[in-house]
Amino acid sequence: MLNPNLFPFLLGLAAFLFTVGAAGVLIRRNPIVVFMCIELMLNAANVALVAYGRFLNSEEGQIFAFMVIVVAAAEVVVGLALITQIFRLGRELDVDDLSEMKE
Amino acid sequence: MNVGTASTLVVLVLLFPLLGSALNGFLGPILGRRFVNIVGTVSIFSAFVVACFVLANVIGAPAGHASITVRLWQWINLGGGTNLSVGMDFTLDALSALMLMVITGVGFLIHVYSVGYMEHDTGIARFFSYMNFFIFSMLMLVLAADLLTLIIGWALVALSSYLLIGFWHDRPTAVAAARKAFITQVIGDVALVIAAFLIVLNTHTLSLPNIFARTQAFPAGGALITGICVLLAIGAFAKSAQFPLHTWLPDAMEGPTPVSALIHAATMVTAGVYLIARFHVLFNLAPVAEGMVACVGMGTAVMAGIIALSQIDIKRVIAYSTMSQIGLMIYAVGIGAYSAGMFHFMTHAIFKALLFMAAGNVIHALHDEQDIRLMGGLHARMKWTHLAFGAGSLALGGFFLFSGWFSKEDLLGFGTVSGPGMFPWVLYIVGAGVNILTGLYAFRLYFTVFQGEPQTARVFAVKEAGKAMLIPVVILGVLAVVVAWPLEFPLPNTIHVFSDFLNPVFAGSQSQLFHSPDIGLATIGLIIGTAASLVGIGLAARLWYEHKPDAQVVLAQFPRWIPLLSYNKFYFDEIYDRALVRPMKAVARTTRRVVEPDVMDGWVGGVGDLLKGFSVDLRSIQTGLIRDYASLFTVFAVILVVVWVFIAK
Repeated sequence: MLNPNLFPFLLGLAAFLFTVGAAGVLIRRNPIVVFMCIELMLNAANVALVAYGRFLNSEEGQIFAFMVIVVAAAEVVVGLALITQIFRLGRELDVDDLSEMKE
Repeated sequence: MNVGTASTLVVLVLLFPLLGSALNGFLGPILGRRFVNIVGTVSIFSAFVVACFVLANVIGAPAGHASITVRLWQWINLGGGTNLSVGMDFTLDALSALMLMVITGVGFLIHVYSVGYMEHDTGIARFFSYMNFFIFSMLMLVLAADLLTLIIGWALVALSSYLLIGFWHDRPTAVAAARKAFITQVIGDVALVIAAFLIVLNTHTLSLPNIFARTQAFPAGGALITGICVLLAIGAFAKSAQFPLHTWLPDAMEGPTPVSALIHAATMVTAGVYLIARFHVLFNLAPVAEGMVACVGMGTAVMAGIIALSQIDIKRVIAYSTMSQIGLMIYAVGIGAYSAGMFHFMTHAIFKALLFMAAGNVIHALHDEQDIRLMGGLHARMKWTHLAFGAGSLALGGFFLFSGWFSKEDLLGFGTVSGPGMFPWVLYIVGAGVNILTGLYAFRLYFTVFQGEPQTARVFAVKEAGKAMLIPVVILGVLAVVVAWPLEFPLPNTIHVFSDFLNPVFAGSQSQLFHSPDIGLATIGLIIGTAASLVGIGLAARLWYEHKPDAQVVLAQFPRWIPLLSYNKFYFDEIYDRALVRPMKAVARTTRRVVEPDVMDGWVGGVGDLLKGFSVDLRSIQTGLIRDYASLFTVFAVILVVVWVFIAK
């Protein structure tokens, strides 16, 4: 049994990771880094889920964390494929540049 | 007559024309002219045969049982406290039997005539479909024993009239005339519907026999019954082309001539007379309304007679004479001489249909020429038409022993004995004046068209009309002479077959008066009336046959405005144009210029502009930069969480 006093620290870690990830998504222009930051945010959520599951004595937190991992993996597959294709077109890898969909 | 027989007869008499109309309308264009001609005439002839059975049944019924009302089916049942039940109710009595006979009898002859007249017209199927439909509507109107059914028939005849006036729909004048007729009729319809509302409100029933049995709801001479009767009379005036709703009738002559003969002379325009006669129970309670009806009728008779004197279109002269004669009928039902009014309706239907169809023969022979100044001398070339037209003119002019003389003297003579005071006598003297006018305009037309020298070379090439057009004219010509002989003599205590037949319908109203013993007074009236007609005819012969003095010379002795007034039809069209049409158009123009762009488009466009501006502002958010979206997303997610966690709790 984990020390209950650890719970705020685990949630704090999750919040910290999430903030770092969100800040990265907002600030960075390289799509690969943006992806990594999104992974960071998802993992922050995983930490929070597992922590809650542990402290509420429930398996659902861990089950849900696995789901998130699966979704994240799928997302990475699609995302990386997109990025590779963009790179193949000879475009610079800059999210600010990729705004044709606006029209 | 039992209920079963009566229902069968009603269904049959209505079914034949309706069936004819449907067959002609749907199959006529496919199966061609022969089919249409046969179906169109046979359907009306069948209706005529049924009408004869109706007449025989009504005559054969024991006294006091001559009127029967049948309900074909219940239509609307409101139940509950109102107990208002509306059915397809029809009445067979002396009045409706007479109307049936005239409508189907004269109608059949006119249908036969149409076969010849419309020989070269391509729209023959449409024409006969409309004509049959008119007969159906008119029969429904005169058979109706229920206000709602009556109004349906009333509106349907206006519709058929509209369709037939505008039959040649590629002529702008015909379309305008049709529209004018319909709009004027609708004014009357509205008055009639309001009257119906008032009646239902006070008697709680729509069935005519029940209404007439519940007249205790109306205090005699009160404002309510007077109002109802005035509204009914307005309806009648619109339908019967009486002042001030008369301007549509002359324009209606744009339709084919058989239409003018059937609808605008013989049947539909007399529906107003029928309406007042049918509602005589109510009118007897409202002497003021009766007086108004009598005065309007007589006034219209004088006015239309004066106008007819100077018109130059052959059909318009007859149209104005129709208006004048219907004025006399309206006068008759106004003073309570219902039988006399209906008698004049019958003889008028015959001789006026005859005049129109004979005029149609002339127009046809002269290749659509309607200007009487270009005719003249037709008697040698169109013998039968000439004879028939002469008989019709003598009947119209009230020549001694012709049918028009009997009916006209009958209704005028009634005025001399119809009430207290000087008022009936004043109207009688005016009526004698109308007799002079009638003789004048009837024979002005006859002499100008058939006598004298041909005015154009075309007249020499004229041929007599074909059989289909001639036989109906000749039959009506014979009828116009003899029809009144066995029926009625315009003196008290003589032959009164016709009024004895009709009077049970009007039992309790004043029309018994004509059997009053005051034979001296009636004889004086008869002599004055007959003399007046003869004076009119004689004057016409001097002016337009012998030309001694010439009509132009006589005319020059009048102040110039009198002939101008007559020629321009008392300027009614112009007055209505200035007083109604132009102000309405001005209002419409102003609305289009001011109200539509500023008021209507203002707020409709305003809503659009507002949304457009809003969307322009909103669109600037869409930058295309993922980081912008992500920032907004984050900010709103944070706001949402804050609201949820801290405020919503």
